[in-house]
Amino acid sequence: MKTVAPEILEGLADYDSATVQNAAAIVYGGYISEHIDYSGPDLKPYLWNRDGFGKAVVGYAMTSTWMPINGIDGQSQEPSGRWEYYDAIAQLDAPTVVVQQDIDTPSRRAAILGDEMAHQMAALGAVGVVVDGNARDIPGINRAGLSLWATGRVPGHAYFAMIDHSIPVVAAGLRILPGDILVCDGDGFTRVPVDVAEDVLRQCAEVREREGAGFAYFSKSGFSVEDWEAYKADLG
Amino acid sequence: MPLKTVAPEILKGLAEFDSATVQNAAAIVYGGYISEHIDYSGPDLNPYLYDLDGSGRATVGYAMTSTWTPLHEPVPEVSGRHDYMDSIAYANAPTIVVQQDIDLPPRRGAIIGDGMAYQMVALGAVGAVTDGNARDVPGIKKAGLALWATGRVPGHGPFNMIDHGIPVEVAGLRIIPGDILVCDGDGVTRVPVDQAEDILKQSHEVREREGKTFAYFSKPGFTLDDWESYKANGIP
Repeated sequence: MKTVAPEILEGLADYDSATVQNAAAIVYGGYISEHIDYSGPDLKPYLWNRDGFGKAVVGYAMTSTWMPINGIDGQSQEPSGRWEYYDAIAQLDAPTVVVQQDIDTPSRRAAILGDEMAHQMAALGAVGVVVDGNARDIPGINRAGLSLWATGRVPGHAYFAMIDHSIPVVAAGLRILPGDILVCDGDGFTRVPVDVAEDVLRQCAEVREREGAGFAYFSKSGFSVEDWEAYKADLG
Repeated sequence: MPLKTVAPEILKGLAEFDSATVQNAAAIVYGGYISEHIDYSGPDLNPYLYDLDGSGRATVGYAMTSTWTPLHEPVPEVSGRHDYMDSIAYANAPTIVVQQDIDLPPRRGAIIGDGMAYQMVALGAVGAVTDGNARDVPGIKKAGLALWATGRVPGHGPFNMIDHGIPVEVAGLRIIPGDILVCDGDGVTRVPVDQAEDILKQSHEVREREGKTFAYFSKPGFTLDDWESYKANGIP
């Protein structure tokens, strides 16, 4: 998997997903489709900001598809091997975000992530999980130390199978490729292609500086309509 | 059209009541229940930021309505964003920004963020009610703006206000410019300006009546005899 210097991931974690999306649009030279840019509103941030520092969770996407009701021919089995998927997480010497998509019929009805998987994933190097589908055992996932975004919660599943891994998936309306960098926080997550990560990080600093000047102007005590008129006049 | 207002004491008085009590009181003033579509918000509205000062009071203000598209280049804007912000700045009364996402699809991109929040607060807004997504929620909190929205996402695309000062629909509630909105953790109750004084008066009576009921059912050692007495005679 293609990676960037660890400092770039650490740098991105100092920004929120919205600032990263603003910065990425500048790097791209304009807005791109939301379907390849950022997650939609049906994703819920169940567990994040676990250390209280307010930093985003950032890692490389490790993608997979799952069926938690019908399994494969009504049995719990996996054609491409769940251990192979876990090996990919274990062998990548970098923080990973597990991305799971429920492709059962119906989808998003049963759970595809629980506390046991969370303990395994955290031990192997995952820092977060993004689930297009349901999680269960949220307190246990919290104890495992894994951040979690999912479209829902339910208590159970039936025949449970991973179908494939390391393939493009769709989570909350966002298409994610294996190895994409994901910047995740309370607003959801923004996708950062590895090849532009360094430029996006650089642009984040500029976006934050520009926005900070605006916040300071509108926060000054005694802000008046004259200040508002001056602001509009300056914009021309 | 100039904003029709009531005495500031009426808004402050309404803020002492929760949105549910106000809805009860309004039904009495109306002479019966009215359609929910013109009465109170539906369950897809999330109270992301409220009770910011810890006082437990509702957020109350005049609705300043607008429509937005956050994904696609729009038809030419009907009226400028500065006109809209001017209407907030010159209202000389607490206002609640009410935004409806009318893009196709709606509710996929964000239509409010921290930059807008700082401007709106500086100009006199006390809250924002959004049929669509917010982003930068921690930044909106720092700006001091209460926030209700149907979702959160990190991004948007080409971003435009389409119109303002028009009827909009938020979480199933039709809101007319200048309506008084009473907002708390349950959502939003609409109070037409012309009936605000009567609804405030009735809110006091509802609270007194409900308080007697709460006290009756909370008394220590409540018995089945108390229950039978209640059924036969009501609250003593």
